[in-house]
Amino acid sequence: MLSVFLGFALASPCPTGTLTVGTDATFPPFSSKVGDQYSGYEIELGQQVATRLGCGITWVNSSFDGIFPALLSGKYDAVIASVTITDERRQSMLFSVPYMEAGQAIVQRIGDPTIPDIAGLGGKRVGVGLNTTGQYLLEPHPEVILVKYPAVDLTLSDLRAGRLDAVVGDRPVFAYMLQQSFPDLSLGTAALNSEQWGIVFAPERRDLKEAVDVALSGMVADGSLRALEEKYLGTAAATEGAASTHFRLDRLVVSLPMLALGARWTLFLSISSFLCALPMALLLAVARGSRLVLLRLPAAAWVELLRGTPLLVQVFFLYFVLPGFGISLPDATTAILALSINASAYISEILRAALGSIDAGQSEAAAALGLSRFQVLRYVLVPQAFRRALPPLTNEAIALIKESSLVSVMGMTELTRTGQELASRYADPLSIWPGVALTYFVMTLPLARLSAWMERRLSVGIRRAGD
Amino acid sequence: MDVPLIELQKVTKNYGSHAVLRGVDLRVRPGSVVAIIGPSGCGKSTLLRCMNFLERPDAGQLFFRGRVLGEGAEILRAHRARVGMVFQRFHLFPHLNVLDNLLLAPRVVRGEGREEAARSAHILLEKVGLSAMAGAWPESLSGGQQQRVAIARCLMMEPELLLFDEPTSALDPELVGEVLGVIRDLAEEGRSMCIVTHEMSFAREVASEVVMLDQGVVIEQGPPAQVLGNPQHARTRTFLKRVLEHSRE
Repeated sequence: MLSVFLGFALASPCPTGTLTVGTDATFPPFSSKVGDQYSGYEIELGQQVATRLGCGITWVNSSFDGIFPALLSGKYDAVIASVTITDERRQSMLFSVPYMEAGQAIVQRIGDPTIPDIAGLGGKRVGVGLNTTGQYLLEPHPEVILVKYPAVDLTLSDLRAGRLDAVVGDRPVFAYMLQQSFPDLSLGTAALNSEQWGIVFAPERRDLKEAVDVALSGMVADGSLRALEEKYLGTAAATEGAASTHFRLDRLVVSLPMLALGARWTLFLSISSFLCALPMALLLAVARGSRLVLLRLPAAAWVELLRGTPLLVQVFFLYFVLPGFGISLPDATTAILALSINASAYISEILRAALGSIDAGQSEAAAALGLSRFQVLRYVLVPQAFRRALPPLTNEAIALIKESSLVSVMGMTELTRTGQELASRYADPLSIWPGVALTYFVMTLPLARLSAWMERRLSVGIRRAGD
Repeated sequence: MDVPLIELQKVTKNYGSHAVLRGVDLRVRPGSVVAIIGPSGCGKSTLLRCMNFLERPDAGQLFFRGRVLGEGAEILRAHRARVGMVFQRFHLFPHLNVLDNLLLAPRVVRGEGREEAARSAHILLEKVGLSAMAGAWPESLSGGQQQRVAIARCLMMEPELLLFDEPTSALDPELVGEVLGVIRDLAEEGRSMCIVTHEMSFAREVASEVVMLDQGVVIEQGPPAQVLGNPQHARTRTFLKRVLEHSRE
């Protein structure tokens, strides 16, 4: 009896007491997030399942296109993100029993001739979310012109704007979004296929999958799953306000505190990255100017490699590939590392150019006084190079603030990601994105002013003092 | 006979296939002022720069106080700290004011305290007539003032030998006098110096020895009265004639 009990305890699905679950909180009414508060059908579903397993639950927000690599690299125990069960995905991951019957549907502008099925999409421009089952469904049909988007609400905006002829995606998600903000669009009545959503696990977590299956079956049996559906998808489901087809200042104003939080992350990431990148860049610039091939070549290779590959790929490498080698860093550290390594390549070129522009007589005069090569750099060349490099360094800092949005693929809720979440929560890109742009502008403007002030101060100091 | 302060033996230097110095012998005795003259491109600047290893000779030997100068960064730095150099184009550090230009080397190389170094700096600025300019930025000074600061900066390291590389060539004519005046004062103090110059009357007045360099070799040397007043070599005569004609224009 005791051994049976022990055996059960050892097989606990959450040895640490908490399940870490990945979700993409840009899918209302299934998963959305305001501030630190997650809400939606799948959030409540996950909480109920965890409770039945006797576990706590921690949500981690990730963009959908990065969510499976993160699961497979061991960052989450499970993913609940409106994931359709497909044979292709089954080959690399485990699925729970389904919790939602969903299918793909066609969205069109009201007034356009109705397209009833996939055959009717031939020759049309059709928007889908990247790596969604909508994409997979249409890919075998080369006559359909596919346009892929990182967030599905953008497909609806483009459809409205006339850049697309139709959009294909998860019926329940679009039903909600149309009701929220796109009254001028209509959802086709016919389902293009039959789809089921399931909770996803890494292949080695069969024990967890089985425990979750038991919990889900229990929720079907006692009607609690049905109740959840009624609450979030039924006719009485609460909405976030009236549908909007134009810019709404009130929605932007309500979103500002959220955007400010995102901006804080953006500032933290970009300032830390810039401060880390500077010394790296300085070392690189000096190494590239060295007489020693052993210093010069690796530095040149480093710079060319980083300039020659997209920042996004570098972020993916650090975030998804390194854990495979047993190196797992906190997300913020990974983000700062990726951004600063990338920036170091560009900044080093700026500093190298600035160092190279300094008259050779400066080094000679300093060397003739007995300064060592390091002292010449430290006291004579570098201070002058920094002054000359100030304008391009400012450009680089501003670029860094904007490029930091790329780490949103790792689920870092910085400004752009906050914008994505808010835009899809309200299904209202029209009101949110101007706010995001404005917030970026507010952050970069003082930087440009600061740099102008420093330049003026340095040159005025030089001219004024002698008169 | 006292040991030469610095002695060069058969020093050669090539830039690619072009031979700039082709076996130069030169001795500077303590307290003497050696003026190096010659047509442009004859290698006089290179010769001077070999004396503190801003240029590394391809062959030949260099003795300082009778001891051959060895290899290695440490030895080189110590040597450069004992040999001061003043450049044609001043090369003050533009990001430092006049006082900090003077303080940099004593503080960084010798680890002197700021107070202590600043006391010597003020004495030297006084000496070159610029005590009011301690807080000024190099950019705001005239060429003559900049060159006097450069001389003071170089004196901060208390060098045993001073090298002047055409110290007045980049100056407007009316500013030449103030710089030559400072150099003349230093000569009168008995400092050892090597001066590459085109100012023949100054060389005649200040130098204890004149060395005529042409096509990378010393063709004539001796007291100024002899080399400048009664040159033995035809090329020296041609050179002096040309310089004289130029200064009359």
